[in-house]
Amino acid sequence: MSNLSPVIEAKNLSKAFGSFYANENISFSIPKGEILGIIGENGAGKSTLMKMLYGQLRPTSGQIHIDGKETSLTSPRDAIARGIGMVHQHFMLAENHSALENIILALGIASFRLMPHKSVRKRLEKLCSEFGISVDLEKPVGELSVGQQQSIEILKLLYLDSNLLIFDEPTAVLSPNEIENFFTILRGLREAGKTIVVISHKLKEILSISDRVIVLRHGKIVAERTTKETNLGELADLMVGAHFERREVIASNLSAATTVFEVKDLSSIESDSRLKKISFRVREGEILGIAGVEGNGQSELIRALMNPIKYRAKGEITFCEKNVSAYSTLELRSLGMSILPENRIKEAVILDWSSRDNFLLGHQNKKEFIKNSWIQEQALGEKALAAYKEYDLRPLSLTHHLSEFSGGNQQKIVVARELWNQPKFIIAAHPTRGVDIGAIERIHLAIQDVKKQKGSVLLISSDLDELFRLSDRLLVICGGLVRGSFTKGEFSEEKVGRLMGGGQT
Amino acid sequence: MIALAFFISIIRMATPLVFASLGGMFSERSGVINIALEGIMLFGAFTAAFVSLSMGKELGFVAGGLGGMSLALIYGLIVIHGRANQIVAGTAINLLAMGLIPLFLKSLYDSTGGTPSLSMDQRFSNLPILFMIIALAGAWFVMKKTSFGLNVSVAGENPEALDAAGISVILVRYQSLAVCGLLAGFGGASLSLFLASGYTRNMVAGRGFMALAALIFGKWKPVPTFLACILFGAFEAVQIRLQGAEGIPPEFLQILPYLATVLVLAGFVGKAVAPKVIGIPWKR
Repeated sequence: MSNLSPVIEAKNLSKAFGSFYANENISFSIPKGEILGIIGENGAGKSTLMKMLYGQLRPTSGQIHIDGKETSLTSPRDAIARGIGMVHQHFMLAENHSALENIILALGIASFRLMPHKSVRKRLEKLCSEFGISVDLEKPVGELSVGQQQSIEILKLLYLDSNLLIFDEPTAVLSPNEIENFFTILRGLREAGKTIVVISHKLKEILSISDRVIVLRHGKIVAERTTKETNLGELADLMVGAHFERREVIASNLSAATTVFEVKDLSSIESDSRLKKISFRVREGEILGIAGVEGNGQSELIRALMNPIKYRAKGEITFCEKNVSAYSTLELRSLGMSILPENRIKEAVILDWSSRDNFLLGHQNKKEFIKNSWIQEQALGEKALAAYKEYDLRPLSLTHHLSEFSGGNQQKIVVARELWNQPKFIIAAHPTRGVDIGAIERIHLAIQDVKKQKGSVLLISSDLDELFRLSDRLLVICGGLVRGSFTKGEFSEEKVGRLMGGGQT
Repeated sequence: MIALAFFISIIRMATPLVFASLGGMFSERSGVINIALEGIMLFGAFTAAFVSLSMGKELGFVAGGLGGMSLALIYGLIVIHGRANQIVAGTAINLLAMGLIPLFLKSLYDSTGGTPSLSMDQRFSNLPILFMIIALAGAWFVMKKTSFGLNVSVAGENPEALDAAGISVILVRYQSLAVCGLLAGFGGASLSLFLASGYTRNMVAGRGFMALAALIFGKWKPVPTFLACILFGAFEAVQIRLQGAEGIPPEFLQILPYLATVLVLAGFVGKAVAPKVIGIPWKR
């Protein structure tokens, strides 16, 4: 791109928390009109760096130069005033209010005044047409799609005259079509001379959108590449810090296998449920993937499958040749069903319990662990330790609280527990969300092992790479209905993506 | 004619409820549960009667609002700065009002039961109804049209977003509590200066809680909340109207408004959508 003077320049930035350096001697500069990708694993220091650029954290040492002048940013407000804007991974939107009111909110009017609806709308409409963004300005934001909510966040920054736009994991919650749309907007912004920073751990996307990539590891910049001159393999290796081999997954030959789990015309009892009417079957030793943009009935499906007595409205569920349509979670679990829940923190672990005690969850009725109402602490500890060892838990500890483990290690704990007594059928919902590459490999391996032991897996995910890699068969759902079905070998990002977005093949 | 008189009596009965529940709306929309409405009203009723006795009803009414505001701000100090549990702190404020007022009464009038009776020109005949309607229109306007209303509602919905916009969540919550105390204090004043003549022991008699019920029934929105207050006011008017009827014990009739509150909350509220972070102290 252009060699204009840098919009923003970091000089030897460091941030220490106690004796731990989250960022150490970070230096880089971003010229006007560039899209810079910053990649790194969880905990590599990406968020710390961005927080310093956005005024949320003060650097321990080092300087930030904006337009050539040294600047100290003390608050986000300060950063905004200097033309730096950020779109957080979790949007900063008030869901009951319209886009218009959310923009008015962002103006930060603390005094008692009439809301300037008219003037704001006028300028917004101009910005919308200028940058090719289309959103409903009147509807409550909560009723809009995630993609549109993101557009509102972008509009916010444009309205505030931001010249440097920072995006934190912008594509994590978008469908493939929305991602394409988002990239188009980004390119438009670049044309208009805006400078953009995208933080992500999705290498493919960074490769397709950025002009330059910075790789962070352990709080330091380990590499800087022009995007055109690098590739996926190199970036992955740099990010992890070792040569990384992805094992090929072999599809099972399933034509003769028996059906383990079958669902016919299932719908959910929940009010405003998005699960309409769904049918599928999972055979022995099969991984059935379910692709879909989040919020298209997946959560309702999971609840209806795990707790049919409470959540099933209509339809039949068969498990191991039994009609389990009116079973409770407990009964299903004792038949050999297991789950990696979609929300790890809320549904799978207790953060202020130790890793040993968390192992007990869901196994409370097993004789190995409970005798005459007493918890068999010794046995529990031994079993948990053995299981955690197998999954290379770090730190390998029974006494640390769950909150002291990284996301990846928390998930390993959940996987170790849920797969402990070789379930016949396991629901894996977003099994590697918020998990670093090393742990992803381990968890993927574990899911394939289920298959080898003749178990079956229902893999629900919004990560197409994961689905394509693991699934023997893939269903695409949209609006609570199955829109298409693929078997291994015919997966295509384009076709699946289109179905996910509600289109036709 | 009878119908009109009955209608007016409904509005009269609803007036303190409307003030209090509009006040509660500001507090709760900003994210602060306000179970202390009862005590705030009580304190407002007392200060209004006290000032009215010496300085006239107009100042008395204003004093009711200011008395309510001061108690609400003490509550704010405990739950916003102190980050205390809002139910417990609210209950404490109610108990504080119940204990403090007899102390003042004793030192002022040598009686713990109440203030001396107000004369006709120390109390209102119908004006508070007008004030109440102005308060309703004002509350609607503020919530719907002004930046302050937007800030209040975002403070209770997504305080991070408010903070990100550079507005202090804590300040907005204090402001909301001040408005809440003012309005609930007016509610108390309209009890002692309008429905009754003077302060009597425990004269709020659960109206603070009834106002909360109306707020929930009205889904934290001004106009539906107002209508809910009218409903509760109607039960109270019916109760008064039926007093003296043959064969119904008066105590049973007195239960009516409370019974209506319980039934409405238990059965007819439907899906109440409370402000998202209600009850959770703000911390960056």
